[in-house]
Amino acid sequence: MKKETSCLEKEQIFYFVQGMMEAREAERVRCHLADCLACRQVTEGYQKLDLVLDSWRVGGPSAWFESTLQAKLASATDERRGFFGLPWGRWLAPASLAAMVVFGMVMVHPWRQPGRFSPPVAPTSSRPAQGVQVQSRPQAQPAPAASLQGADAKPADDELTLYKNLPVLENYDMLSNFDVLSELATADGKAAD
Amino acid sequence: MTVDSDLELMLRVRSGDADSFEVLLNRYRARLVSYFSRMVRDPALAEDLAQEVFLRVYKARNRYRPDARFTTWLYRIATNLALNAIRDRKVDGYAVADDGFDMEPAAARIPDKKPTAEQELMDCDREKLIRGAVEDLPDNQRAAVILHKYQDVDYRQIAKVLNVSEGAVKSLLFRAYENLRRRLEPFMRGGQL
Repeated sequence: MKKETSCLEKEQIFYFVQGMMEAREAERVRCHLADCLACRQVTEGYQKLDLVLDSWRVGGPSAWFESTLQAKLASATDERRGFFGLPWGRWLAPASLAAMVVFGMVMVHPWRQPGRFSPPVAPTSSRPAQGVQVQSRPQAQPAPAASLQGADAKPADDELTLYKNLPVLENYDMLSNFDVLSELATADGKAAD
Repeated sequence: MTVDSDLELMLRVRSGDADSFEVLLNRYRARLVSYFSRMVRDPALAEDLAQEVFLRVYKARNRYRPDARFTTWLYRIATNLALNAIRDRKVDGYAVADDGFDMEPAAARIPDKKPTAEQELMDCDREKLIRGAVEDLPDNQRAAVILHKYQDVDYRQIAKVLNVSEGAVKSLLFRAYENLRRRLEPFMRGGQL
């Protein structure tokens, strides 16, 4: 009588039934099964399960499978070909994206230059403006008025002289009040007065 | 007359031979539809997915390299699609009513057998039970069982399709069959489901 411990492992029996075993090992299992009733029962269990699973049947492709697939293949071919037989689709999207990025950079770039379109920052003060003090600027000093209109400007010699002789607004409190006054017009109807 | 191998046909498809693609299509259409029918249950979705596989094969024909079996490539695409579809349906909470509407009646498949209404009902119930047991398996086990049992794909090839080791596939199949045996055993005992 065979001992219980000599029985094969279920896994080995399964591999044997499913043909997932090397020939030499399969032969060894076959010899064992000839003598071992318990292992033979396990084998029969797997074979029975196989038969049960065989009874699960499914339908085949429908009548319109072929036509639908042909339509999909045709549209895939057209998509590949593109206009004038060229594969536009492959690079048209990246190219348009790049164009949009460049356009965006061009539009945003001037606004990002400090001081070009933004007004100079004036010191704030709670003291009311007492009037504009106009002084002649000494000849040696550079013209700040020119810098307000753009540092890159290179006026002609006569223009340069004119610029040097321009009066300079030094009362920054007055300048800051101009900003406030300009906002009054858009605040509400009271500004109309 | 010699039958062209899949590899030869695919190489011809790559060089622009549409007829060879037609041969491949006829060879694998029914197999793929039945594979998806078992994987995703919904027959309409199964057809869509099978068409998608052929579409992908056709689109990727220029990139095809004959370093693996054509069926490995085909089933890898198919399995990825099927597993994604299963995951999507789980996420969407989609479930087909278990009323067998998606199953072709046994009588329609075997018209000469002329089963009785009772027999037909039993066949339908049996298929439902098997389907339910297979669907309850984890995704990888389900794919392995269907490829092994119903598509006659060798376990070594299944390893390549699922991108796991051969040992892992053997173990996966063993665990899957054990799950199925436990689930279907009460119905197997009486000799019928």
